[in-house]
Amino acid sequence: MLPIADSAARAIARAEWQPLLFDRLHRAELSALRAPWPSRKVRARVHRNHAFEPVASATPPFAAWNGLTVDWVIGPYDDTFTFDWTEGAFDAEILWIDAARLDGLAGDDVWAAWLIDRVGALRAQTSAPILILAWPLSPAVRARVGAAGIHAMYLADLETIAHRLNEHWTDARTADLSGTRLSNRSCLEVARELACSWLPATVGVPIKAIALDLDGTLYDGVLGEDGEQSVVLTPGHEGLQAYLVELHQRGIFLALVSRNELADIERMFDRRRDFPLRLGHFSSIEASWGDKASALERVAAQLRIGADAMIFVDDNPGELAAAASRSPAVTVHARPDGAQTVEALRHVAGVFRWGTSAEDLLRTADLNAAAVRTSLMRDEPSPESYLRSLGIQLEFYVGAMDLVPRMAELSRKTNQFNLSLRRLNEAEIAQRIAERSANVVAVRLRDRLSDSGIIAVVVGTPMHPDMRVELLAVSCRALGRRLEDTMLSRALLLLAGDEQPAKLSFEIAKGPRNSPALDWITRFAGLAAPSDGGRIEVEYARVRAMVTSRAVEIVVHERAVAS
Amino acid sequence: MTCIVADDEIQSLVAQVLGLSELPAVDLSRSEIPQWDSLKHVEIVFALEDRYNVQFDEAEFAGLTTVAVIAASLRAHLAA
Repeated sequence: MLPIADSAARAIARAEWQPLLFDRLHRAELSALRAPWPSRKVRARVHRNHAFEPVASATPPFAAWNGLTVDWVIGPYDDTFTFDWTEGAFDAEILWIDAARLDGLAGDDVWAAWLIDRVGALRAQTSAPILILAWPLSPAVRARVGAAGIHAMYLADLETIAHRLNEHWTDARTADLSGTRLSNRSCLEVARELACSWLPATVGVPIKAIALDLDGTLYDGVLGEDGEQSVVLTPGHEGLQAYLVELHQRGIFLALVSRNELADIERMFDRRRDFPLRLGHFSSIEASWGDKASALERVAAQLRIGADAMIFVDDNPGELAAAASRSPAVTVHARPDGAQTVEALRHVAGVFRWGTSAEDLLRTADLNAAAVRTSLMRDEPSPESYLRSLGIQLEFYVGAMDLVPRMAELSRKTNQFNLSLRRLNEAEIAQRIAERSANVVAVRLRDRLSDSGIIAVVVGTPMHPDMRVELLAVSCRALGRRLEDTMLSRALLLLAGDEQPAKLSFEIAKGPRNSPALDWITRFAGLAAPSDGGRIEVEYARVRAMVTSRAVEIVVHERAVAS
Repeated sequence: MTCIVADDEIQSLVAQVLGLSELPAVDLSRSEIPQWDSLKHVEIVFALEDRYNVQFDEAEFAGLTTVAVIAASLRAHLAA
């Protein structure tokens, strides 16, 4: 984290920047914004056939607001997209295509086939995620390219911006000067979506929860002073609440962090039937007069997430600054018009996702079940009876190509139980499976209380006479059930397959939050994990000896396609 | 209504877009400022149109070569 004073100043600056970033955009005002705070650097290579510079030059403030700096490496104009102009390692590959400039691509079929061919050629060169910004792109072409089975490829939606800007999308007057048909306004809006939504969704981690203040944030007024019937649900606040319901339905947790009496809050949500939000939408409620940074810590603990995967929304910049000085939660200033708050929330890195996974939709129910499991663990007389009472089923999927997106998501999102902290993307995991099916094992967890979905992934490679384990990650939603040894020893056995390695060599990295994984490997291996990362080796025979199906139903799908 | 465009406003805007630490002299030509390349010229034109809510004609773009010329052109647009 930044020093306290810097963190508070950053929260204030973020609030001050919001009108400039999320209301009507002005290039001169954007170019004047300078972020004094540190940021994560992302290298993106741009393959293009029209000018990308008017977009790239507008991205810095949007990226900085999200803690990023993008190093754009822009190639020459090339209508053939041969990708041979430079080499190097990049976090993302961008295709910036004006389809009207491409000759001989009349008709959706030809255009889609050409695009699939070119993306395939790029994929053969790199495993970095590929982000396509092509226009025009009809729904038919989009569907066909999306179904081409190219992993870690994402299609940005320029059509929606083009439709909204209508006649302002292109500007024939400036096309020769700028090198693109897109207008200045279009370039600014694309820059915003690219830096705030598309690129973070491609190379970053998703937001898992939004913690919200009440008064002046979700409605106009003060509950404790005005009473529940007198606080005003303005159209903007109604839109904000509806948007939050939508995020909840996509699997993002909602939490309340409010200086109000709990009884008043409960009465308001009970009586204000005009509110789109109901109390049941909130997975955690902190109603107290204490400081909000502490409340945010409690929310994160209750939701079993890191506080840095959370957004904190409040109408008081002072509260945001105070919270930021002690919490890594991302701050958003709730503005008087709720619609402006929606725009800011939409553009926090990690809110936009390329898709909603089945596991996202299961998350809220799974958290509710966790409370019941804790009670069972306390009441059951033995670990065996506890596991039996849950009716646990573990399903193991060996080399399941159709689970690649979820496994990549686990690799990207898991911080606490992630041994190597390796972030393998879809293309890299698919490549491991193509090399050897058993290189990748996924685990699905169900019990009688909930279906947790795919909650673990193990990736390894035979390195004769041993087996190298490069990724071992378990979702925090599966932790605390005393299942780690059972699921991971079986997964490791499947990973070894017929190779019968002498040892399993685990890659280890020490991060700020992965002590649960390091504690586990220490116990599992019977050896201390190296303090500064490196490797830890475990005899294969020891792993075999750990395998058990005690009180748990085991199902193995070899080279399976999961339904 | 008369709209006044001060030279120092344009100097600030040009310096901002070009990342200059000092304001460019009003009569200093684009060709004498290495940072003022064709890509930055596009940004300057876009920024001016944004800031002053005007639209230059295509034929004017190439002629916007100094702060003084830009300011004069803006004054003409805003007075029209």
